[in-house]
Amino acid sequence: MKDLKVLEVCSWYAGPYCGKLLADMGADVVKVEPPSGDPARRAGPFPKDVPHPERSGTFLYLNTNKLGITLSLQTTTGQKLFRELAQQADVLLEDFPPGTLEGWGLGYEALSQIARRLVFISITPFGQDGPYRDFKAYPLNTFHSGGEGYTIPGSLGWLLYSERSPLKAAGAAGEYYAGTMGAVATLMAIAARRQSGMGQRVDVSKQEALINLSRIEIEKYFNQGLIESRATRSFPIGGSFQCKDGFVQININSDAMWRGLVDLMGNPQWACKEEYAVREGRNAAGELINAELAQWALSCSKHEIYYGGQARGLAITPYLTPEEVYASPQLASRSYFVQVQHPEAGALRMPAAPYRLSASPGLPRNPAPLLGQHNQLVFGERLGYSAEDLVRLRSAGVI
Amino acid sequence: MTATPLGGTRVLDFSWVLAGPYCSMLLAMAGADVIRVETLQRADFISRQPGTAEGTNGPLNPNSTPRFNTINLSKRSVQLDLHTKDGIQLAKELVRLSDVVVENYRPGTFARLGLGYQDLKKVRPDIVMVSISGMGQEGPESQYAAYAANFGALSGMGYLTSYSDGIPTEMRGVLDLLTGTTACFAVLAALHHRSVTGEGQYLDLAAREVISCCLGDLFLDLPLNDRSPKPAGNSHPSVAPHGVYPCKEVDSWVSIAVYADEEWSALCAAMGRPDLLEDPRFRDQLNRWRHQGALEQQISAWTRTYSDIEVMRLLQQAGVAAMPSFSSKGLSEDLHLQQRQIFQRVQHPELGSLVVLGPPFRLVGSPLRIASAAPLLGEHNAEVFGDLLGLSQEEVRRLGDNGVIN
Repeated sequence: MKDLKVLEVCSWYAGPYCGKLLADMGADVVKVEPPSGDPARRAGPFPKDVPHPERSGTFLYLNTNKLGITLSLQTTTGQKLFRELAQQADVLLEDFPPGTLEGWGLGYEALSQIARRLVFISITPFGQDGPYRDFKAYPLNTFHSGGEGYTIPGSLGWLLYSERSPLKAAGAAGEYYAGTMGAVATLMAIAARRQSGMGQRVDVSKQEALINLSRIEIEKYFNQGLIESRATRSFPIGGSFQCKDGFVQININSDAMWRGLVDLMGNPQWACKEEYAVREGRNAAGELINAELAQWALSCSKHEIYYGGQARGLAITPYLTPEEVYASPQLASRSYFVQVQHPEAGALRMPAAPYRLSASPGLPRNPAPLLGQHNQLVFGERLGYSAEDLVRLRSAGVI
Repeated sequence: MTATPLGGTRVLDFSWVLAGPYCSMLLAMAGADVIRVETLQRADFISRQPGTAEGTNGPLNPNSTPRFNTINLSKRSVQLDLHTKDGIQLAKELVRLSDVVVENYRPGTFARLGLGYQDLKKVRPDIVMVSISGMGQEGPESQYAAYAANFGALSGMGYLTSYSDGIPTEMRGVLDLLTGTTACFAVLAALHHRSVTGEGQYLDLAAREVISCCLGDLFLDLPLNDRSPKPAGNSHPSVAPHGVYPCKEVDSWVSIAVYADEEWSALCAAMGRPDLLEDPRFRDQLNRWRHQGALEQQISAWTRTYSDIEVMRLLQQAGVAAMPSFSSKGLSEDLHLQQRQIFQRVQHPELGSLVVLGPPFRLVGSPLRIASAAPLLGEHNAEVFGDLLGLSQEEVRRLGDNGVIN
């Protein structure tokens, strides 16, 4: 996708993850930061927990393979430069509160006049219109507005902590989901442009992206009157179980799997009941069976159960800690991790990509940019400004 | 402006359950002609079979369930038994007329059937083929069985989604659809590549890898500090209040996040608690974070006296980030989503009128749309084998009798 030129003016997680997916896939992504930098540069993790704007783990992961420039969009010169950049771009990716770019004369109406082929993508919590358009939402709020939060934790977590609040998924997961949806939207608009020759406006609401991922659960309310919540998520038998050294997830989906599990446990008396041979019998005795499984699991290690179970065709997996994810032999054989060398933060071992492509590998090759690292390249070589111009722009606070 | 982004693109969808079908449904919403290739011998039983959780060995049922419907909107369906020679041959003839193939069989299965990427490349050199699995197409664990809760556990997401003193969380179908979404992105990138170079390619997605990518920022503590991140519930590493608080109704909750000092002042004013501004425990960001337990008590006492929507309105008006932890019922009643026209209806021949969620984003110039409900099994046999492949009615009947179109 080398031919695709993306101008990303986003901060934190969602927009930048969308930009990262495109950049790691080979697109030419120029990331525009305010002169003070993407606020994600203030988020950790930092080496030795010492904050430094060039050593933020969050920024370093989310901005691989991008060119980095600084630009103040509040200044008229900054706005002029932005217009020039937009004219050279195929895609503009932005996540300002709705109306912000319009206020600077840089909205879709204005830019499409000078760049008819521009695909203009906005990623915001609630979209460009509607009663919540101007609502404030941080990742915690956006996630919970999407419906999945209300259903976690379910199963064992619900049994143990039913008085506690619903939970968000780890870290900023919801923002990554929204960013992924934004990347799909981007390439669909580019596909449309291949046919029409024209750009267009794309409106990505993070909430709408998230609820779509929960469409099955949400539609149950409309079509069956059922409200999914933390209380309704348990499987009739199986689920998560504590081991000597962590937890495993055991899913029993067939009679064959049940027989395999009984074998794994060493054919204990309690499991050999005739009625347990069929699903209905097992489901009816779900609580009893789970109590026995829980006791058994406590005496095993999670990897023992994992390999022993999988050898018998069982859908059993351990709950891996991040350290264990990094040590996974499967991921090693897949070359899932890549070592990216960053001038300030050093060698960063990180997930390479969510896919493997035979013809156009999506691996991060280059580290996240230093602040303003490519000002000379972009403003100088691509837009034609002289070195003296750049000095002037710098001291005026434009870049 | 063009009618649809992917008009003229044909997708052959051999996948089942959730991830593969959602990938191809997104393509269908964008105007691609998506043809599901299914068989009564192995019907998408997990989804078509009514009333199951994630698997059954009950009788196969060719009729749709609401779950199957909402993941297979706007597609066509043909039957082919891929364990017959004629079935494989017909599948290849369909591939010849297709741009994209989607499958999520156990790794190696498709190749053994004679439909691996190398086989399909011979039939259609620029084919874009995507294989979705839990673990990936090769490696010591590639043959392992895994559903959403399993690969959620392997990815680190299950462990990290937890109260700080809690247990790992069993993650569910959202992870399947996320994997399908990511597969869709990869397919679109491959189609773009093809438009420039004429080359197709093979895409290999592992669900556990897709999900781990969404934890990359947290994971970086390992290379940076040799430290494995721990779960933190709803809390934030440096700001408070940042959590989910109980509201008036049973099992009703609202999320509130305060980053800046102005937001803290606004929250105190909205709660009618100017005294909290003077409380030394809450005077600045660091102290608010340190005393987040006490803070939680103060805020919960207030939120308990209002509904989740009331808290949202009061706080948003004051410039404070607050959103309910929406249940499906709450979302169905939500004025914002109604105005955004998120909920649509489709007419299904056997299930009747069903509410489904519309497309996940808006392309203003070339809108995505839902053209129809999900197909019945083999509903388009005559159309596809007849009109598209040019077989005679006689021939189609014979293949049906021989168990090929089955």
